[in-house]
Amino acid sequence: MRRALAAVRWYLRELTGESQYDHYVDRHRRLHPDQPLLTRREFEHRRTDRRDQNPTASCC
Amino acid sequence: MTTTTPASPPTPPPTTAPPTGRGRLNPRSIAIWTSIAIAGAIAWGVLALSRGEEINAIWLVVAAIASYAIAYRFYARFIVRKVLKVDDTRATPAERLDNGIDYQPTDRRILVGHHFAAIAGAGPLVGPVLAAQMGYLPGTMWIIFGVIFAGAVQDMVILFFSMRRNGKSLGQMARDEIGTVGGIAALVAVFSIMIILLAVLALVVVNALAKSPWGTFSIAMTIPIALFMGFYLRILRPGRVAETTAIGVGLLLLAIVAGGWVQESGLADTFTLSPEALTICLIVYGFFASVLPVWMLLAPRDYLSTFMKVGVIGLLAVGVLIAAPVLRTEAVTDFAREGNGPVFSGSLFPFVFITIACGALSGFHSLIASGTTPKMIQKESQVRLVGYGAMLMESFVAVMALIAACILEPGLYYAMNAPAGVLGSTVESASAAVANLGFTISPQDLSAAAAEVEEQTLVARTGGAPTLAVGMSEIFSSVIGGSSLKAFWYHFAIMFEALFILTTVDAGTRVGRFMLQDTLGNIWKPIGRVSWKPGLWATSAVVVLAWGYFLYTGVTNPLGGINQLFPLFGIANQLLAAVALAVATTILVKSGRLKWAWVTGIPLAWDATVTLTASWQKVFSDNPAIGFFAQRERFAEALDRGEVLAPAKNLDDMRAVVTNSTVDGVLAAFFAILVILVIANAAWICFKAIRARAPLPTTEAPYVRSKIVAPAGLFPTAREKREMAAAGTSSGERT
Repeated sequence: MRRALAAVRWYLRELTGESQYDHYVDRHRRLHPDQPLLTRREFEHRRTDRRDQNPTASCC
Repeated sequence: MTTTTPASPPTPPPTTAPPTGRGRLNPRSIAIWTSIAIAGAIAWGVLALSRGEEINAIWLVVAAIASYAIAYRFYARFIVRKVLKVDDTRATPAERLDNGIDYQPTDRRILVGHHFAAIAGAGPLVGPVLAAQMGYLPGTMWIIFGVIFAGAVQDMVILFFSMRRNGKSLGQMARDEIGTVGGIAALVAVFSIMIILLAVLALVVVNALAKSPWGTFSIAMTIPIALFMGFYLRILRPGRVAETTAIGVGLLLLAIVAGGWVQESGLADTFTLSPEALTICLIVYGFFASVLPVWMLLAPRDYLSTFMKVGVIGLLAVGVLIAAPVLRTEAVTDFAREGNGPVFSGSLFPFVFITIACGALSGFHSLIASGTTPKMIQKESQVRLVGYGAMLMESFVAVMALIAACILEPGLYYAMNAPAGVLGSTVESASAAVANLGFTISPQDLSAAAAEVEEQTLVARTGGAPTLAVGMSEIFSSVIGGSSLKAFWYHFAIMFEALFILTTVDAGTRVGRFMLQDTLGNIWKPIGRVSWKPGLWATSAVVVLAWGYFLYTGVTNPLGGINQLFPLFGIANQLLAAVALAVATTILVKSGRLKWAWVTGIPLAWDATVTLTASWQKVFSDNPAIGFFAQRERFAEALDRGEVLAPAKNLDDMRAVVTNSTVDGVLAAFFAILVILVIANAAWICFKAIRARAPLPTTEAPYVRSKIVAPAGLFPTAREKREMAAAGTSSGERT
């Protein structure tokens, strides 16, 4: 039961992109441990604003 | 499989060429697959052979699911192994170019969700509803066999080829593989399909909201709700998407309920808008939505519409299974044979295959399959789940839309879907017109049906959305709430469709503008800069006015906008599919796989036959109900004599018909010429490739060995579990 709930939570976080920041932090610590991290706010702003430059259509 | 060093660079992954076992069937799986095949065969038999008795919709669901399962297990696997030759030792662009932004290896189960949300929209909901005038059988067969042999193949193959080329777009692949002509034709096709698509979708919304204060209020409220979510997500709680979506969905449900109150109150008149007024609102909305920053309106709307999409489709599937409704439509109607149906003109071949595009074969998907998805795949073998699997899911959505339309009394269906010019504006005139078509519905029943869902009228509510909503409210209310909740469910369904159509209008306008900026930027540099505001506004306005023009002519067309525009949309969409399949076939031939070229070549031949026949009839048919130019001639001659012909009410209407048929006819001819150009160009390249003996130089990115270990399908096999354990990755919750 608890495992099922954890799996649902994992799926929703991944699907909605909520976990993107965590992945970024992991990745950043691994690759550039000496450089400062973006805050969650800055990271999310950049992530959304990227879509302004690069529109993608959903289908009919 | 003896080493357990977790992913240290020199250790090659334990996978070897054929990614999963040799696939010898054990007795258990032979038994399972035999019973699936038998269940499917029985269901198809019931659907195809019963005449004159009532068929339960469950048979349709069984036929669909059994066919999908067999196709996914056997045909998709054959394509992946023998034709595409996926190689799981080869690193995907997500692995090689991983930058944490657009290239990012993503869990297959997440990616199939993203991909499905991106390809599924209003298309599979509208087309099948319109095609129901031909009966349930032609639509069902095309949806199911079309997706298995054409639609899902196209999506998967394009996804694979784009992935092998670092996620190149369809336009770039057409230019690289076929040549400049193919490239330009693809670009023009994408732009024009976008314009027609946006106009048709906006027309669906206009027809669903016109004269419905409840619907108009609820949809209008989605704008402040989305703005609130946007600010919440930007300023208060950055990144908390699930929480924000939950709040948004709560507000959305409140807006639907509140719509009912508004309809009863003094505000009702404020929200009762004519189709023309709604058109202006949509055009203005489209412009502002597309120039605002994404975070304000588009991003939150995207979350809401994705949630509604997945949620409602899930509900509908469960509802159909529980309610087990009976199909009221005939298997094949007379309209299919004679081509004189009121919803759209023309006979079964080719027009069913044009009307149902999304759900069976949709060229538009090739843009998504060559967009963000190929940059996120972990393993090559996952294209089967993500490309083929997601398209099967979309096809299933189309099957359910068809069910929702076919469980309605045919009399009600035609009273809602025939053009206003045929039906008149009262229940009495509509009842008489339906009787003329050979069906019955009394004026009282028609009023009662409208009262049940608390709409002023259901007469001539074309566009598919109201019909689908009535069908869905029928199904939902028989599961939850009974007839007291019918009005709620109706407006819930309208909200669901209008919500993501408006999201598509916004996103589509942005894509169209982006293409326009890109193209014009070659001529005049500043306009190509995406951050230069005046250029942004000007190009946005051009795109909005382009689809706004078709929307307006559709709304005011006395012959019925959906009747006139939907075939054009279908032709444009299938034209794009022809481009995609031509690219895929050319790549197969060029890479020395001539013997497998039929896998995409046969769908291409079929698609070209359908599209060209439809275009031919739309251009050259001397039947004014079908041929645009015949129609033009008939009305122009009457206009010269100063006469007014039936659906038109005055000379202005007559002039409108003449202009519209000219524009539509020219477009149909133009689309046909594009298809011919692309196919001829591709055929020439294939001919050269065959003559060349040795495979032509490849455009694939070079081979790099993969270090990722991940399963191919939805559930890991025993062997994949062992491999993952050996590599130190758990089977579960990690990207």
